Amino acid sequence: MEYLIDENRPIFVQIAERIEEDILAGRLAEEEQVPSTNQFAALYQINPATAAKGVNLLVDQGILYKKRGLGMFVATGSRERLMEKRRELFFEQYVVAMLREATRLGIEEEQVIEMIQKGAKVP
Amino acid sequence: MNAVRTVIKMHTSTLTWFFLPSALLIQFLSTLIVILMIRFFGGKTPIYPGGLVSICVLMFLLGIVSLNDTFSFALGWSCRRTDYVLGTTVMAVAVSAVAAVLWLLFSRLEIVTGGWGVELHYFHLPYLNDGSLIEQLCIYFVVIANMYFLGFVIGSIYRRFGRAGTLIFLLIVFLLMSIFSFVWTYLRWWGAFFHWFSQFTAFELALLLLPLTAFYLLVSYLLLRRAVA
Amino acid sequence: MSTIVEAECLTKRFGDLTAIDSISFSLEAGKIYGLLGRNGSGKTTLLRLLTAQLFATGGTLLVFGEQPYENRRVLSQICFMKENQTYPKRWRVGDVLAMAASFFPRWDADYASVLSKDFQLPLTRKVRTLSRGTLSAVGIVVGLASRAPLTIFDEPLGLDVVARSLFYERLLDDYVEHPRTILVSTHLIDEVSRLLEQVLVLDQGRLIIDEEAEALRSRAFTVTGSASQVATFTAGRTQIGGEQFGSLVSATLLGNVDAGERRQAAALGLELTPVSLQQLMIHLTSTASHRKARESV
Repeated sequence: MEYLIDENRPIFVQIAERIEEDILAGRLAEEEQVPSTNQFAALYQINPATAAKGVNLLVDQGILYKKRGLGMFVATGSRERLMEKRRELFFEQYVVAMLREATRLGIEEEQVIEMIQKGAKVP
Repeated sequence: MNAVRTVIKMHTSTLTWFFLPSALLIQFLSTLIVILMIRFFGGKTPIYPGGLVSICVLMFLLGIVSLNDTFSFALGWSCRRTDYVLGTTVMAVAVSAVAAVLWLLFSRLEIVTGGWGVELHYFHLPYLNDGSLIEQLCIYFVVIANMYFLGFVIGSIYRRFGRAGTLIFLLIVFLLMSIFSFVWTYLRWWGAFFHWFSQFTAFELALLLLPLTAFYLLVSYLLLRRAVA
Repeated sequence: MSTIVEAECLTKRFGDLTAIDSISFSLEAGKIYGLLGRNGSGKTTLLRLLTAQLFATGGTLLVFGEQPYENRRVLSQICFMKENQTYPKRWRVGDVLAMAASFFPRWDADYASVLSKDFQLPLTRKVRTLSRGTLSAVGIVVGLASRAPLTIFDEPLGLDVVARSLFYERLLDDYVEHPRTILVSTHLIDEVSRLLEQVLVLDQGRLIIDEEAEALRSRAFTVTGSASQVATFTAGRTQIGGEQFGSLVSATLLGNVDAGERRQAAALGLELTPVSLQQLMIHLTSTASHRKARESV
């Protein structure tokens, strides 16, 4: 799994992102235990302190919390919180980018809207 | 003391020390063969090649060489210079002692067999070997050990000052010895010196070598303390 | 967190050459450090100072709170595996491992046995006949099995890809189980960088970087596009590198881009790419024109 880590970006951020993905996709349920930092370190072949930094990032954001002596767990309501965060980013990441590309390709706004509606009909 | 033991173990593992007896044995046997041939062809005079010179040279070389392989390595593996010197000293003393005992045994054997049946005086020499057995043992031990540490000092100079430094040192020694010898000859002191020298037994002279050996060891230690690994 | 190495204004001169130029840093217990820099930047000299094989010309150096010179308390806690280690003649690989047990107080013979199988060490071969890669592997096995509280690997990466990967894996596993301070000195950065917690970079004897590896990963970025577009981006930033291919220009700049700037870049048709640790080091080391850039890092 090592090759999935992009060494050019801060790794701890990528660890946090992966955990977020797992929560959003339902692979990690609320109140479920998250793998330990040592397990992350072994899996991605990274320094445990880096893994810990990523986990702590999510703890600070309230996505994860620590149960003394047991480890890190997914906080209740974190999935919804993450969804909200993603929704905010959706406009920037997808809509703006889409419109920019459309402009570049000479596609009119109405055509874009038509395409969206067509796409929505596809199962 | 663990560290000292480690250094000893390291030295024994290099096996350099064990070439000593084999080299000597080969030298002795070849000398014996030569003598046998001489006897065969009718030569009758007793021969005194004095194997002691060989072992002296070998120990001297050993003293120089034992640093080569092991000093840098030991320091690289977190060994202290002090422990290195201690361990090497123990090793040298042990080897000298064993060599001395063996030498004594062989010299006794030589006497009993009448010079190995061919009047070859290799291990046992007059004057050098007068005195009780204990005295003989001490002589062998001190002479052998002294030669080792002389080599060790030279090796230490090399470790501390490098090739250039060692050459300069040897040059200075050569110069001093030349001057010394010239002055002594000029002042005609050689005669008096030999007269004074000859009143000592070999054993007494050997005892004089002891402080000299200790001096070599001390100088080596001081040099190695500032040597770079 | 205890400090196990503390250097202040440490200097080492060889005649005219200043190999280590007044560097100050401290290493904390239990972290994996990377000592990086080009060949000849002073890395090995620094490591030899740490282990009292060399004497400093100036400054102070404390290891485990004491001077390392002739200090058994300190030296017995260090294992320094240097590049191109020469062993006593006639030693075989098996002898190396057997002797290591005497030299290193915390030696784990069982672990060494497992590792030597993993790295396929030829136990009966004479060390002088080994290839560079196998010699490196021997050093790695000794370094790991020594379990020394301060373990130093000097250029351990002269191995094939499989062995390197095995090294990283074993290093991490053992570090997690037996936490200790590990210092990896190398000029090959990228593969090993993900294992490092803190990075020290030497350049011509000077310590130019002493930071968390993670912080360095977002230290710079590269913007590529047409010359005029790139120019709008470079205004007000420190440039540490640049290239030109035809009408395309790329500039490596210090700092980060926020979302707004990303939008701006996209709008201008500029490409933004991250800068790896290796590239960052290349840009920051050893050319005079980059000294200014270095000073603003």
